[in-house]
Amino acid sequence: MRLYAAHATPRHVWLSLQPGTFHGQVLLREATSQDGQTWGGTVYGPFADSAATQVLEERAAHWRALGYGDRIAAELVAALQVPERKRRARAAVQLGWRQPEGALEALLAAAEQATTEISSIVDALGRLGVADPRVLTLARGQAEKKLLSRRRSGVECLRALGDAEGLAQARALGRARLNPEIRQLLEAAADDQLDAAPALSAALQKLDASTLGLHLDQLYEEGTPLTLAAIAPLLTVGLTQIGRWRYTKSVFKRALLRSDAEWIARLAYAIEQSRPAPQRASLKSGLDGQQRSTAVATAATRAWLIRATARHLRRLARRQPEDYAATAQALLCAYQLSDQRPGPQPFAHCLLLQQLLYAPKALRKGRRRRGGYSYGKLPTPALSMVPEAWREAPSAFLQLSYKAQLPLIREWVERAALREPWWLTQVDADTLAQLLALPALRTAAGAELQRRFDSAAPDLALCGALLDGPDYARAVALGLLAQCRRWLQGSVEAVQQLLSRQSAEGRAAAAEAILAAWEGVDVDTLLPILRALLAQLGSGDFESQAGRVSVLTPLAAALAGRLEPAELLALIDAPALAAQSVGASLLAEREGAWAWIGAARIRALAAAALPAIRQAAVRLLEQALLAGAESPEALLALADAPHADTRAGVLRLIAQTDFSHYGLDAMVRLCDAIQPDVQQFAIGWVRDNLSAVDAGALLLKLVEHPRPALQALAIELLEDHLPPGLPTWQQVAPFLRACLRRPGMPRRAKDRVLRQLRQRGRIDADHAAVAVTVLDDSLRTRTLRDGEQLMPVLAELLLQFPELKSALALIGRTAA
Amino acid sequence: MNFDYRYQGRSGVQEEGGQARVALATNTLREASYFRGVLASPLLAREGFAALFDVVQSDFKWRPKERLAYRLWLEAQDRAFVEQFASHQQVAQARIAALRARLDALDQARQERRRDFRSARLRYIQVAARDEMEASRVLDPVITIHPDEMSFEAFSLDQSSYGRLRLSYELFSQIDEYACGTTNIDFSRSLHEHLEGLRSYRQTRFDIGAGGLSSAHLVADTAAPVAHEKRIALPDGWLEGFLNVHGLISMGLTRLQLAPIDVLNVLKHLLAHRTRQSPRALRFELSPGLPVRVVLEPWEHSIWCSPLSVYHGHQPLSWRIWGRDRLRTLARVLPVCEQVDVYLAGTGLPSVWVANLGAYAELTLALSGWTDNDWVAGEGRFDPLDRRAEVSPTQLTAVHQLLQALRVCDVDDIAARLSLSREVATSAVSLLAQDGRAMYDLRRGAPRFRDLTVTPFVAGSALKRQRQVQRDDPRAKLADALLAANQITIIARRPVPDGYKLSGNCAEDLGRQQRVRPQLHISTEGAIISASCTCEAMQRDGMSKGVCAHVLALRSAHLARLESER
Repeated sequence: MRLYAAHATPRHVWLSLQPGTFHGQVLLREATSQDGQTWGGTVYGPFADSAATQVLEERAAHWRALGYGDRIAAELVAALQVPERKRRARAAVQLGWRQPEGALEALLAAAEQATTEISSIVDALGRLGVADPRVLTLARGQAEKKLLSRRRSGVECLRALGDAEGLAQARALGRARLNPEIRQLLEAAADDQLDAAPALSAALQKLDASTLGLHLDQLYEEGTPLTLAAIAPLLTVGLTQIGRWRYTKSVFKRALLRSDAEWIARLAYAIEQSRPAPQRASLKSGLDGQQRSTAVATAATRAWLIRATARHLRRLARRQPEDYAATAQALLCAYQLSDQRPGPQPFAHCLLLQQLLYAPKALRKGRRRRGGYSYGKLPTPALSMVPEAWREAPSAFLQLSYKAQLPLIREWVERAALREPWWLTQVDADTLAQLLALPALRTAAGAELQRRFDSAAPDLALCGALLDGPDYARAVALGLLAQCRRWLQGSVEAVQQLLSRQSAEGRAAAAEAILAAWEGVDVDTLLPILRALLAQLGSGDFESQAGRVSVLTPLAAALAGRLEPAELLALIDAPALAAQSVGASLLAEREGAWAWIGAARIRALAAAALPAIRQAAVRLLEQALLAGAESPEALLALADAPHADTRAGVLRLIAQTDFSHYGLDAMVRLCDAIQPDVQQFAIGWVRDNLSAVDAGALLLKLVEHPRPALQALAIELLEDHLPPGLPTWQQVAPFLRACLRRPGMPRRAKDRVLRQLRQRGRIDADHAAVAVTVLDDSLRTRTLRDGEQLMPVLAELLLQFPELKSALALIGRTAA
Repeated sequence: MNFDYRYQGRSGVQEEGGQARVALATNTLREASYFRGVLASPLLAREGFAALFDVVQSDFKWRPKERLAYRLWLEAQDRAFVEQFASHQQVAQARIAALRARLDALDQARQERRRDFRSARLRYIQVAARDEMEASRVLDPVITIHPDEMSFEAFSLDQSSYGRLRLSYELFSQIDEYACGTTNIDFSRSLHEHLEGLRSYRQTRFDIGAGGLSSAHLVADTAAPVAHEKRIALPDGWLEGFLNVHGLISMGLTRLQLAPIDVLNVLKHLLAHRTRQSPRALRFELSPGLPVRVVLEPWEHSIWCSPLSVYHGHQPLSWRIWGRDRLRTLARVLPVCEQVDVYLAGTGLPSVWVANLGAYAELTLALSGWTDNDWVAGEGRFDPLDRRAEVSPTQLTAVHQLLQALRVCDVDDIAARLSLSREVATSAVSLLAQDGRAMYDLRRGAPRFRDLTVTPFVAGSALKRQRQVQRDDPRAKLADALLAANQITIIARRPVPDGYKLSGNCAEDLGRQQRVRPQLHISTEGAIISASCTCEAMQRDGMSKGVCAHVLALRSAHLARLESER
């Protein structure tokens, strides 16, 4: 502590606490000096740690009683009276931030004689936050001025002091300057009516640059949710245009006065990244009314604004550390990878980024360059550079690890968090859940969540949020839920809440955790919970009930016997698919349940939309079949069902049933099915049971089949099972012709067909005539193998039956 | 142009008790037409429908593949290559290699783990894409019930193939009732699969009506709910696609008769051989008195067709057609086909393939000049080849009413009944075809009534549209201007058995000195049978994009002279 008295001897007094020789003791050192240099001084003590502050205060009170006080405050108060306007203004601003005793009176006194520095004085009075009537009168007067800086200072002071009446007057004055359409829109909507914002934005976009600037400034001044939402998409676009720039600066200064983190970050980032071409315009000064050629949005002005932001951040860190983190976080998150510029110093132009990451220590080592500080290679900031102000808001600091776009920033935060676990212990559970997304912090964040988790009173909201999150978050949630098995076995509400997660993955994971917790537990213990779950099945769509269905279905075997038939039938009759699904699963597990619902209903269930219902229907069908209540023939109607699982189940039942229940018609029916899997089954079935049916009759039906697989079967049967006689031979002739004419028919099949034509053709002239007709149709084939094999057969038949006519002419036939 | 379909039932096939019922639901937004009968030969109908379905679903237009996955893989390889250079240290490279190997192993494990999911997703996407395609792209066939037959017409997805299945009433063993008219039928993949179940050993009822499978309503029931609706956005000029087909059919085409084995030989070679080398044409070498020789380019694989195909023309011809892959849609009917008639117009011009499925059924496949030059949006215009004598609205209305009443009637009969000249009757029929009200039956050589539109016929509007089309056609406009400016001279005019052969001299363009020489073979009705010209367009494209203005001017001059000679 440094105390000062201008007209006393000594002028300077230093009071400081130093560690004592022994642990838990401190020494008080008091030094005095006339010229500001400290030499030795007197040491008092030792004192106990707990008493140190009291001793220091007592000693300071002693000196204050002698007329000593804060030296800098005294100098600032004195500076308010110096002839230079700029010094007066700076002193006023400093007083606003430091808020020493007597500052209010000094500032009010200075205001009476102030010229252009009046704005700074009013700003300082606003920052002091003392709603003194004299201050309010002064601020209201300034708020009525036309000059932008005066009006801004006045209104922002009134806002800081909470003077609703003064603000309302200023608002009325400000609105009178607005475009009638905009004014009408504003008056038509309530201050928090956000749905009116797009219309307001659209209306603002129609304005020219200078008018738009005025409107943006006025709407930001009002600062209602509606006006802020309306100007948000417009404020950072075209902000350096002639006519707009002065209002951009005004809004930015207002944001600084309000310590509005979001808008400071947006505007400072936009200004820093903007690179307007040099522009000059003839503008009228608001101060003296003179029209003069002025450079607009010059690099110097922009650099001043950036430096002002950096200054503001430093002051926040020192004077209002609780507000520092929000502004710094918003600014750091604004930087993008695309902000890099080519060259070895990609972020040399980003002064604020460097200030936030490296200040104050590293900046001293940097070389000052135009527009910022530069480093040969921007290193990850040292951990020692984490300003103390961040510790006021650890969540904001750690949130940078997933909110910031630059890897540089994320690594910095991650390293800090890994090196000093204190950070993780200070943040809330939601932030920890978000940190799970970071591979580097996942383990630490998961461990912290585990540490905090109380299995006796689990944090349901946290578990739910983790279950709805990504895979790794769900893994942590499952780990947490595994700790509270007892709780999951007894709490209906907890189970219901977990199974009502928002995401399908979350519900599935919750079901998994619950089933794991219930493993080995007697169903009677769980019956109240299960009944509660069953009662909920009727509401909502199937997706929302999927968790409950997942929990109830595996327990169907144990649960089915504990429910009344009426309860089961009520489930299956319910309109909700989830209830039907669980009901069908339960019925499938209940002995004799097929009798309650009837065969027709079971067949209808086999065509249901949900796979679980269909599977249950197949099981019920199996029970009915075993009990002799359902005819095996009925299965044939379901064999060609549109759903693959139903078909597979039904075909399994058909395969298990003795073939004596079926016959030729059943075989033909399956062969004529539409679905390829049924056809494949039918082929195998035919081969296995061919001896039990009239193979010839089957063959005569199969020859009409259009599918290659069944045609191949027909060709296979042709050799051994074609009934003798001319009529049947004539009946299969079109099929044989088709086999030879169909592109893509396998060679082996064609060979078999030709073999048949040869064998049957040789029986007699009538058979041969049919064969020759078929062969003649394909005689001109250009497929070499076909021709080579077909022609000898034809020639052989023609030689055997010379009376037959053919397109094939046999040379030397008479001689033969 | 949007085409709306509304069905009160779904089409399908029902099998019960050894009987089958094919029920085709008709579009209730169109005129009520229905049919009830029993099929005597279900197998022929089955094969015909299957081939028509193949035509409807076919899309042979070339579309570049999207190689997104390949490009991503390539980029990853590039990155890995660059990274390899970036890391000089051997230790680092070894570490990268080890990590990459681990990553590959993990990727493979993930692929393995997700295999079931991926296959299920693929199946879902396939089903969804198929449904979406059927709902938004596949045009349901147009069915027309005539007094003697029914026909099903459709364009392929790429609009380059036109298919028409004709089922004569002799194919039915019993006809209960029918009402003539034109409508659409609900024709989905599911129906196609069910139609595959038609067998001769089951009696098969064939019902076409509004109710489809779900009800016995033959005409639309206003109280019945709508089972299925869809709206297809048709390309502009879709209607003209039908006209183009029938414009071509009414030309003097060269008919070749092929045995099914000839077409099969061509198809088998095409299925077994692929090439990227041009030309990829199907060349017909026609020599008088000899069977047709089909040459497959670029292999120059020559196929001598069966003796049935002997060419009876007077001079040898060598014509090439493209888009031969589209013939694959005939594969299904070849086993049951008795003969294939091929109608050729010339090199690069469309061709018509008629597969005769016995006497009572046939499948007509009209292929545009080449696949990209489709019937609808392609450049080939064949409507100007028809004679267009001046037809008054009264005459047109009379022809429309007569054709609507009789449903089918040849041009001479129309002319006789209405006391019109043959040229006017021909032009009137041609105008009706252009307006979507009539079609040309290639087998019978006569127009049939077939109303494609749902709006009532107004002769004045039809003529106005026709005039607008003519005004919009630059060739017709130039031809009129050349005739008016007396820039066309008939040099020679020789009568031949089927009309006239003409030669002329014409200015290439208005105000240009350069002359061209159009030559024309024209029927007695005024339809262009063949044409040539020394102008640049005809030298370059032949008739593949229609005829030039000079040929049209020569025809107009000839017709004007004929009128003056009467």
